[in-house]
Amino acid sequence: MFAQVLYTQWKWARTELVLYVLAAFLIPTIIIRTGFSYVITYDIHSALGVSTLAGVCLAALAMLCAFGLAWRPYILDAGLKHVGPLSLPVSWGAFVRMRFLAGATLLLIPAAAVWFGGVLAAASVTIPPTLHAYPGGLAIRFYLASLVAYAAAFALQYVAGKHAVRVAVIVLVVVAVAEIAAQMIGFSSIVAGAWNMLTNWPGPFAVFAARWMLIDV
Amino acid sequence: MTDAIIARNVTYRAGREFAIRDLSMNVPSGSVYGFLGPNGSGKTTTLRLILGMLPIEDGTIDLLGHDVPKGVHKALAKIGYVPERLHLYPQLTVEETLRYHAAFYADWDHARAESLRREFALRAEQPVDRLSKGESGKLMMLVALAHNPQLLVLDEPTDGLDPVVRRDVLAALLEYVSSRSATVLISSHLIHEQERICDHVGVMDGGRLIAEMPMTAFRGGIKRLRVSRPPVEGGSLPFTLLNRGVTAGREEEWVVRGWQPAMREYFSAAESELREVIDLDLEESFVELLRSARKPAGTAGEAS
Repeated sequence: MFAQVLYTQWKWARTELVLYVLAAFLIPTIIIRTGFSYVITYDIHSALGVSTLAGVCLAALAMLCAFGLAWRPYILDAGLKHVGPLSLPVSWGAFVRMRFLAGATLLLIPAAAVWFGGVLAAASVTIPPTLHAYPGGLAIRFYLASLVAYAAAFALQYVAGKHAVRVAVIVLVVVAVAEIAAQMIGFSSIVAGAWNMLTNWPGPFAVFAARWMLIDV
Repeated sequence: MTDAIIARNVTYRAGREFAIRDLSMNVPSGSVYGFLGPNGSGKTTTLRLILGMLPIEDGTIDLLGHDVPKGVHKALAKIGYVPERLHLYPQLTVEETLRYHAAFYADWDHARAESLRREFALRAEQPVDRLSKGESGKLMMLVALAHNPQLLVLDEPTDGLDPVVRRDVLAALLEYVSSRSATVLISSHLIHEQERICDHVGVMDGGRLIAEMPMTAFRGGIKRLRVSRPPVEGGSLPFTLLNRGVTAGREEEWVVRGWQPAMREYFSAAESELREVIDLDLEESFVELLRSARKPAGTAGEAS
């Protein structure tokens, strides 16, 4: 069963997966190679700056992969009013689990491309002394970040259903109103507080705020 | 004969306007049960309630011996379902669609699926979104039949299909039913089609099951009577009076259900004259049932 669910999701997502894989491979390769061509051998600060830029791009790509893979299966099922899954002899919970796991499995593909691109990029430049390449760590970080974002998008869709976009807009409006009110009465920023809570350990998005460095100390 | 489906006092509400109210029905095992009703009467909603796709508010449903919704997944393994609209993923090919469904059914019969695919002239590599309406209907029927279900639930399976495809689909259905003694619950508003294939019938209107009976009773039991010097209403009638209307002078037309020739004596005893007993075809019977159900309670004798 899972193999067939995985196959269908692969078939739906394969075109965009190719784009994600290309981007995941090219971002470290191009940014590190191009950036390091301007870095003087012992300029550790500049080297770290180039590595940071690649990391930021990869974090954004992780978000894009996550939302792309979470979005399509739900939209397809919702377009058919979920009649297909509901008429199968498996519980809704079991089906949703398979959907989730299939997406989580597919996210491994761009993560592998990050690792491969990172290995090639690191091998193709002269890394300043005291710095090291961490393609494996970066790929794992990419996978975990995309998994967290995928889980959040997936949960929003399956919990809020067709109201997912409306729920997301309402949350944003409430946050904006609360922020404006907090600023007017002189309270500290609610958005900043919430952001810190979400992006610092044990916040669920801590993986995004950590160091996304292919080449680091 | 046991019942494949037993629904008792099922209630479901969808918004403010529409509700399934106090629905009780029995679909005998081995029967072909026709589910009739005008558009929007609640046929599709009822089928979805029976299959556990919608949550019932009140009442109970027993589906092939399993409680709905608790045991519905066990029951669904023995059910073939053809929904009103295409429910197959458009990006998959016919072959991929069959492989996908085969993975979920332990009793999937690959040889039978292949033979039906050839019979229905469906190309294995053809994407679902390139299939014509007739081909989509055939593929849905194929998916429903390939795991040898005990119960087939078909929601308007031939709606919008041309006569040739409709004949193919119905032929496959009848062949299956006769060879396996399967039960079929088929919803349609094509009354004459139902008349050909069904042996039991249930009529829905406004979210209520207004009649449920064997097809023979439906076909022969509803009559239009022309009555001279009709008796005033009151007293116990030996039949169910659905509609009563004045035609000319002191003559009335009565539409009755459960008619038997021996009931003529009722009119003699009431000093009335039964001038004619007219057979109604299935469509007229259906319309009279709906008219009767839509009238306020206790007003059988309105002018026609």
